[in-house]
Amino acid sequence: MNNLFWALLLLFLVGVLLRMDWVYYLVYVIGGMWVFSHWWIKRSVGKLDVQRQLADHAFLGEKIPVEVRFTNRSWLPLPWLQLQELVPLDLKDALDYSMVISVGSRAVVEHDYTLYCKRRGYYALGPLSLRTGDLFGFVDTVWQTNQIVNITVYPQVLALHKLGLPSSAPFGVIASRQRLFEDPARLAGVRAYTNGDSQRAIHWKASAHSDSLLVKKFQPAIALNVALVLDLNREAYPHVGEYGLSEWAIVIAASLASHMVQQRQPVGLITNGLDVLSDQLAAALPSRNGQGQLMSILSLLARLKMHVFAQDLATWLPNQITHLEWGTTLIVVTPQLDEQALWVLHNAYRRGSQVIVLLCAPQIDLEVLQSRGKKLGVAIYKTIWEKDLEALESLGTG
Amino acid sequence: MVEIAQTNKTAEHTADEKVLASSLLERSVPYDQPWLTSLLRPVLIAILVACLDLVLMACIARIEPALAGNYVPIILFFSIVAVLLGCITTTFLAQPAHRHRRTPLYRLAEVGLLLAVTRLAIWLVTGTLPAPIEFLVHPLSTLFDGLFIIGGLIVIFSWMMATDLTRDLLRLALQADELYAMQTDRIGEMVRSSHTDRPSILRAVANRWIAGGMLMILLAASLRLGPPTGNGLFALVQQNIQPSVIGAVVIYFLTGLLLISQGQLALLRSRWSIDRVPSAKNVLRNWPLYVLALLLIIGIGATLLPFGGTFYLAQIVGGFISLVFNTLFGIFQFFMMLLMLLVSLITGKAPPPAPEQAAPPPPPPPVIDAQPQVSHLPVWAGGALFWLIMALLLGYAAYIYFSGRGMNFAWLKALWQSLRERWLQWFGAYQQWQMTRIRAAADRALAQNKTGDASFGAWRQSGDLDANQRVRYLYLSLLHAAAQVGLPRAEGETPLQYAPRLAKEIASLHNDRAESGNLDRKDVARSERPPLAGAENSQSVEQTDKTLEQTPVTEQASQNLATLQDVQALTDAFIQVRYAQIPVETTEVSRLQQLWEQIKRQLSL
Repeated sequence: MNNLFWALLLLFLVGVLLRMDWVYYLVYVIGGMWVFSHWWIKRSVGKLDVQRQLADHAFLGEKIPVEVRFTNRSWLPLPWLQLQELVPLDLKDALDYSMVISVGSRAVVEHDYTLYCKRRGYYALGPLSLRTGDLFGFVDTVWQTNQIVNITVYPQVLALHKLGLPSSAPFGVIASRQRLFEDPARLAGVRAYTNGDSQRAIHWKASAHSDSLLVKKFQPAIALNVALVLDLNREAYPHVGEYGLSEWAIVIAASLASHMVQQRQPVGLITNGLDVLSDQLAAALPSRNGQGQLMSILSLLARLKMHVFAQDLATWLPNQITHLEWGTTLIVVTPQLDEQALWVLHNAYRRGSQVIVLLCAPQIDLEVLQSRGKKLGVAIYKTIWEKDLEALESLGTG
Repeated sequence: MVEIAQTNKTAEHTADEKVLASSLLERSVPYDQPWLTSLLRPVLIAILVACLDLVLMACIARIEPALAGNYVPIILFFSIVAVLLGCITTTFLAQPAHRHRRTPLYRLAEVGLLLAVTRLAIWLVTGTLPAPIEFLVHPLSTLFDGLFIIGGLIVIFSWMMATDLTRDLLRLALQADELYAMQTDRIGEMVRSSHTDRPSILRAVANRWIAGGMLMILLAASLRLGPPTGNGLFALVQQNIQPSVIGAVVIYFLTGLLLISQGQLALLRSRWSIDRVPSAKNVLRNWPLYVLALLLIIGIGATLLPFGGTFYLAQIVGGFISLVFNTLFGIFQFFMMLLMLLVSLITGKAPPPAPEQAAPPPPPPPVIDAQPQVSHLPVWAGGALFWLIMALLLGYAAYIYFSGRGMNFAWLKALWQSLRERWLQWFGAYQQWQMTRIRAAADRALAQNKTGDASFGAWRQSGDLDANQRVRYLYLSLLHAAAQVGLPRAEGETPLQYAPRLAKEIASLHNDRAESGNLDRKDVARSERPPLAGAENSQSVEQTDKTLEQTPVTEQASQNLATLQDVQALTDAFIQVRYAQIPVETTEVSRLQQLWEQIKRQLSL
């Protein structure tokens, strides 16, 4: 419609040269319509507020309702507004997230849709693409909102009995007589309060004295912290089905963490997976208890991605577990276990840890490995698909 | 007979099949019913073409006034009929079920019918129905006379324009293949593309509309009776031209805008449908309302704007064009002369004599002076407003146009920035100079205040002060008076610090004066008292002194308090005006004036 500009000029010249003043009326009307349309859309776009309201986390299989609110602060309406939401494929609940709406003057219009969390992960929702124009086709404006919302879809959490782990160790502490992890009678000092510490452990007098929260440190009677080690090195996984197996490993880790927290046991996570948030190796989460710790672990598990890591498990693990307290239960979720890794775990066992290996991928000579592990103090279980879990369940209950 | 019956049966069967197929086609093949069956579009096209016809007929009536009677209205009527017929038949033929009728023969028959009816109507209206023998003797001249040729051309032109516009606008509708793909392709595996370039179709319609509008304006220019009689407000009704022509042109342009808006809606609708973007109902519902509202607002607003003031520009532009023309013509003449000279040299014949000067053109018709309008505005106001609006409108339109072509106007922005910086620099220098001047004046005033204070006195005498200035004046008067009696405000002493000190000093000054006054009063009382003897006299003296001493003690305390309050009130008012920038009431100023008078009395001024 850019020809209209030349038509406008022509009309003006005709009016000037032929001294037909009434032609200026047409210049006013057509030019006014053209100019006003541009100004209108420019102003309305500037006065349009877009807000997206949604929960930024969800569990697998859940649906997240999203409400997009358009607030027009201008007296001029927007005759049409086409919106296009950029939704990750794993969150799509509909074929397309587009809509055309009309926003009246000083009106609020809400557009609702849902997201379906089909796969765990850390997703970016948006940006929201918007397009509008005038009534005559003079102006067509496309822009994007800068609001990108990150959504965390936690991994699937299974009930522990489905994992079929025997109840003697490491979780046997709940049923055993060894209930004390730290002896409150033997104060070892104080340390700064961190998230997840019990309020009962706060040393109020020392906190008041130092003007910061301090927590009592007790000498451990029996340390029963649990450290989950998740191996997400792509080299360790078989090429066929590596994605499914790595996801299964994450599900196992999430389920274990959830179970530990339910049993009020401190649990931490050590992994060599890639954190997509920082695009670096995921930082280890020290052992803590409480729902906050569980959410931290689940969030980290949601963000993890398998990648090619230069160090194998036997090389990487020793540095990660040196700081573990005596008596910590070490649960290693890995697709394969070789001789070197077994000896590394044996060393951990010798330092006082209980070591359990959950193999989430098929392993050659598993029975031989299990018998060797038993001799070296490393319990090895096969936790590959559902039928293995059922078998382990029967083993555990039997 | 059996064969005939069989043939008949076959024919009936074929006809039934055709009807069945047609009905099935109608049911199975989708087409854009809302757009195809819309009434608004043909109505708008009819109005558009009718406006064009009206101006054309006005021209014809101007050229041949004898035709203005019945001929022009009947041609106009048939033009409108042709437009409606063209719209309806084109829409009808666009339906998939009627594709088999979409042949040139069908359209030819339609035009033929229109022309035949027009021919008959012209004969009847003009009363020139020929005798039957004329059809045989002079068939061509009887049928195709001048009136019919002109009328027929206008009718055909109207029909063609309506048909073309309708066809183009129908192409904006969702096509059957697109609708079929939308219905069958539920999960989007088919490619979402359209073979119809709708924006270019709409552009073509707009171009046709603009071209038609220009033609109308040029035709209207030929119909002008004289220059406009008014250039001010509501000048649209003061043009020296047939109102119906101006109305037709204006309606043509407004209707065209409406039609383009409808086309834009169809374009968007088809795009959304092809992209499977659902649209809210109020988008389509509110569309015509918004368009009408916008057209009304801008249309009415434009009638209130001035139209005139272009005469001098026309002269300038005309002069420029004449200059260019004369220059080119002179160059042409020069080369022609050279050519003639060359020809004469070759042939040996003298060059032909120069043609005689053409007769001078007739003098231009006298310009009818516009009736003077009674207005309170200056005569140049309308023209100035006109030029301002035109400059803004065309300037902004040019900015939009060239911005759309990728021009970023960096040089213009740089120029603006440079001018702005220069202005800020100048203005900053001016402000700095003002500050220096004010400071110097203040210093001078301070110096004069210390020495004798002449300028304050001059300011003090100025009577036209507002309430705030009066408050400041009263406080400064207080300072001035206090300084004169030896109670000046110290260097760095704030008004609030100074007020209690000043009140105390005034009170002590007043007390001193009162004590000296008491002494005088005692002497007077003693002198006025009748002479008594002995102890009686001494007792009476003591009583008088006591009475005279006790009475001022209570008065002095209350007087001191009142002084403090007065000074404090004046100081507070000054602080409020000077530092808090809070204006004071006029009544408050009167009260402060009274307080100042009291303080002044105490200072014995």
